[in-house]
Amino acid sequence: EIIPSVETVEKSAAIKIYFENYFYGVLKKPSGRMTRRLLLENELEKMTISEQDKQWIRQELLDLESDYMRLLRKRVAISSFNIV
Amino acid sequence: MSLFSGMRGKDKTFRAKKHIPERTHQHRLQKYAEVTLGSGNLKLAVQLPEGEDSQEWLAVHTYDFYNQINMLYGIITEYCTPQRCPVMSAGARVEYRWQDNKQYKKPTTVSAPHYVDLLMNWIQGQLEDNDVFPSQLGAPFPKNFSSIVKTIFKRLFRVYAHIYCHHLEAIQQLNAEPHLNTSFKHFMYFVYEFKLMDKSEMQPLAEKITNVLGDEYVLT
Ligand SMILES: [Zn+2]
Repeated sequence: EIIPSVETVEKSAAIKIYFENYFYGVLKKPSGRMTRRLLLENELEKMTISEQDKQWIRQELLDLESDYMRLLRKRVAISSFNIV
Repeated sequence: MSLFSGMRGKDKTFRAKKHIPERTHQHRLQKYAEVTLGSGNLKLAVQLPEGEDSQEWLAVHTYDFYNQINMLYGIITEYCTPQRCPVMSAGARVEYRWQDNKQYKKPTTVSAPHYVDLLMNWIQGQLEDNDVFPSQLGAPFPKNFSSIVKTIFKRLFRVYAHIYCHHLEAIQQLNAEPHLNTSFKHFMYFVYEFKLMDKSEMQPLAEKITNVLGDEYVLT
């Protein structure tokens, strides 16, 4: 049996917090994506534009969501992650 | 130093003097062994959102799982040494040998920490390759993207398998089992949803998969 070093105990505490936050985000209801969609639908309801234009705006939001995921990947690019 | 390679770093300077956790404490924790984080539905969380591009969805999750496994393995680097784990294995019957197109032309037995290092470096290389994981907005994914993602998932699974089969006690000692289980559950739901692995590759953790995901996930 190994007694973990202080470093391991501290590292595991930090990592556990990361997981708790991460899964809080993953499991949160409604999701961020859903919240954004509902906000948009509320706005669209107030607008006096054609259904076709509304559909076009919905597609814009979907494209933004995709771009956002790509930026997320870029931002967490491992090599750019430095300990201060 | 990169954060994630630091997580896997082997520098241990001093040890805790106190016995943590105490026996009774650990015993109490084992009762909650199968506990996971949160009660939400991970099976639904992995599904492709309406209107989303499936490659973008696969890409962002590949990143997430790489990070998760890097951190989980980082918890046990102190326990996973060339002396204790001279081969990369998942139980007594499964050994993984490393092969790449560079240094290791043939499948080669290496220690578990060395194997994990090679594996994670290889994945990091893929993730940082703009031709495989484009980071510019609008840049397309390559034609062989899904086969690369499958290889990445197959290899990431091996790290879970090694941790579960050889370092679960250490994870329990550090009270990180719910975190490991939740991460693995998320990973496996994603694998099933997008058919990223063959059942034969999952065999080393067949029992764990049923335990964590539920009775309908039985490997035959
Ligand atoms: Zn090991």
